[in-house]
Amino acid sequence: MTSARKKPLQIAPYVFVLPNLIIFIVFIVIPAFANFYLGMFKTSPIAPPVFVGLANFRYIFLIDDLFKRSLSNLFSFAVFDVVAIVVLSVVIGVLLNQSIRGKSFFRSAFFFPVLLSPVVVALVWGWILNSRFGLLNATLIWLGFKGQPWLLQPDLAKAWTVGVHVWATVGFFAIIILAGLQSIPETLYEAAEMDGSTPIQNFFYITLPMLAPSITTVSMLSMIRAFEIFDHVYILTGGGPGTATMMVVQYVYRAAFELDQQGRAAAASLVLFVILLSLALVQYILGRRQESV
Amino acid sequence: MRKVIILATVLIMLVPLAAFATGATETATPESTVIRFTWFTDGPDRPAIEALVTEYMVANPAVKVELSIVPFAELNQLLNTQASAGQAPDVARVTEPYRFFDYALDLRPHVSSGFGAQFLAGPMQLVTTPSGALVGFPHDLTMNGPFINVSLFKQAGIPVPTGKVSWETWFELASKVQKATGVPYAVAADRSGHRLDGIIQSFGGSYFTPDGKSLNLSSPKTVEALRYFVQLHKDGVMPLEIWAGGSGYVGANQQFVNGQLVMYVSGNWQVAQFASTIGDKFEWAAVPNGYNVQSGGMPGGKFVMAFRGKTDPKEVGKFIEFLSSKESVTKYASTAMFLPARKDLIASGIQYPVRTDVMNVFSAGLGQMPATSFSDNYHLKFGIVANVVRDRITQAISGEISFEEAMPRMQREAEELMK
Repeated sequence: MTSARKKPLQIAPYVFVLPNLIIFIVFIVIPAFANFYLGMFKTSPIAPPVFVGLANFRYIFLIDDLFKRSLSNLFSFAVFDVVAIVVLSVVIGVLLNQSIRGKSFFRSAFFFPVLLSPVVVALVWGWILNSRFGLLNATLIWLGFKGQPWLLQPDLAKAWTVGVHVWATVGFFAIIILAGLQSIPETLYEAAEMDGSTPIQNFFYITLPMLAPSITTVSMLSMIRAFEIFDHVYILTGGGPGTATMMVVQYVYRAAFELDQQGRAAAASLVLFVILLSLALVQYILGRRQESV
Repeated sequence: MRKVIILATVLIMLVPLAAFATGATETATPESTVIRFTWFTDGPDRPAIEALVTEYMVANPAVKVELSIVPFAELNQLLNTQASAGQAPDVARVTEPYRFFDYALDLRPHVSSGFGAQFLAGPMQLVTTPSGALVGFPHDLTMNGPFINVSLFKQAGIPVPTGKVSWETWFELASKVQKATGVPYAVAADRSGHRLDGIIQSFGGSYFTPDGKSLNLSSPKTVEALRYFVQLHKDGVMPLEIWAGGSGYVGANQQFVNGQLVMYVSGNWQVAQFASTIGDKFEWAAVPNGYNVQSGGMPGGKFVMAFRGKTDPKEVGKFIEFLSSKESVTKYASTAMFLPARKDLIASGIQYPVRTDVMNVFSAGLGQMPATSFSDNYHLKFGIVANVVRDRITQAISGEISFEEAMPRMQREAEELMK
């Protein structure tokens, strides 16, 4: 009697997750495998797909300068983006943790850009940075300086893609740091004060080490976000000038929809998939380690 | 009871999925023939085609034409999905018929003999399959060409030249007008490999050899034109923000409409919009494409094609003949302000509701384009090769790489696409 009652209870959880599982399998797992399969074909709208083995992978790694360029753009973007986000989120988090007037206002102000759609952020910054009619150049000219082609010169455009993305996302990461700061026991600072430590020593010997788990989280999350970047950059610069800010997702888009090379696009997206999967695994392992500590 | 609740919950959650899977189905009225007609609209053509469909149904009470207007961005994907599922519409307006040759209806047994001869031969190639089947007709044509702000020329005291004028002369004059009037832009061209080919043609160059078998990107004339185009940006004659400041297609409509641009290389599809938005703000006109060793310009256009399906092909053929008739094309092209692809209408001209003078400049240009304009535009790989040229030339314009570095990379990437 008892075992007969237990049986449906064991099935029930699986039945409840079934709809989500079906969606996950249909829209994530099957497309991932199909993507790998598609990556081994040369496609064309005017001819049936032709099996080419690993030729698409060979082409993107050995021949196509644009794929290498998009990968290099992505890595340099990720490095500068993550470093800037980690440093600024710690600085902003520490500042927002001070007992100052208008603390709530400043916390809201730094978090506000996170609420904006990437499209809005990129369009607004695009207007600000427009070389002829933008607010920034108008201000510079009014102050007696010369306007700059902010988004039309490759190095400047690269710098602004990082700057705009950091502006739009750092508030989110600062909140993570702030939560980490608020979980540091006050007694540690009191004990250090009794031993005569300075505020700078407190920061380097108490705050930073105690913030290590939060900083790790911020680093990993910001890195995953950086490697997924598309909308901010695509709308701000369109990957230009030239291909100076073209990222891998845009390369995939161009190959699939502008050159009709779905096989090549699938191969490139598989490379991005491997990068993101590796980062997610690192994050998972670090998270498990922190839990065990 | 618990089992029933669990089962009901799961079924409720799966219902939306089932709805996605089945999609909407149409039921035909049993007593009438239903022709499913898919159309994407450029804007002004919508009332024109709706009027023609209504006219056809009034004249043929036993036929119901179901007109579906779809966004252009979704057209190819939609038609591909429908066709591969055996649910293609009977007739559709498309830009690249070759994408659907596998599902197309051969119209030859269902239309009058000699059908197709009334249209320009170049565009007709695109609705003729490699096996010779005739699957549609060119419905309307577009033509690349420059617009000028005549008011700015007058303000600068520089007369607008007539006759055969080279691109160099046009651009030199536009620069003088810009300096004299203080407007920000002298010349801008749409960021498009198609528009760029229009300029290349006037230098005697092209993307493909006339037989279409190989690329012509490294020919001296093509290289000369491309180098000239890059130099225009380096010299500040063309602004960086159109070609270097974006991806995909970028136009300079706003700059021209706002009176900030002296010369805009675009095409006749802008005429209706310019007529309504510029109004009396300033005087503008279309001028012939630049003439270097020959006249430049590129054709373009939309096609109406038929798909295989359950509908009686004779009825489909009859509808196609109606849409392609001289009367229908005249009504359609004059309302939508497009150029006709029928030879008789090109010869006689069409009276448009506004700016017939401007449309006539483009009509006249159709007959002056070199043969390679047509062979390039109707090459099956034109779209993708044009995108490669556009992107590689942008790299040289932006200074990311030199022109000498850009050319072999362009050649290599385009060659890969030709395989």
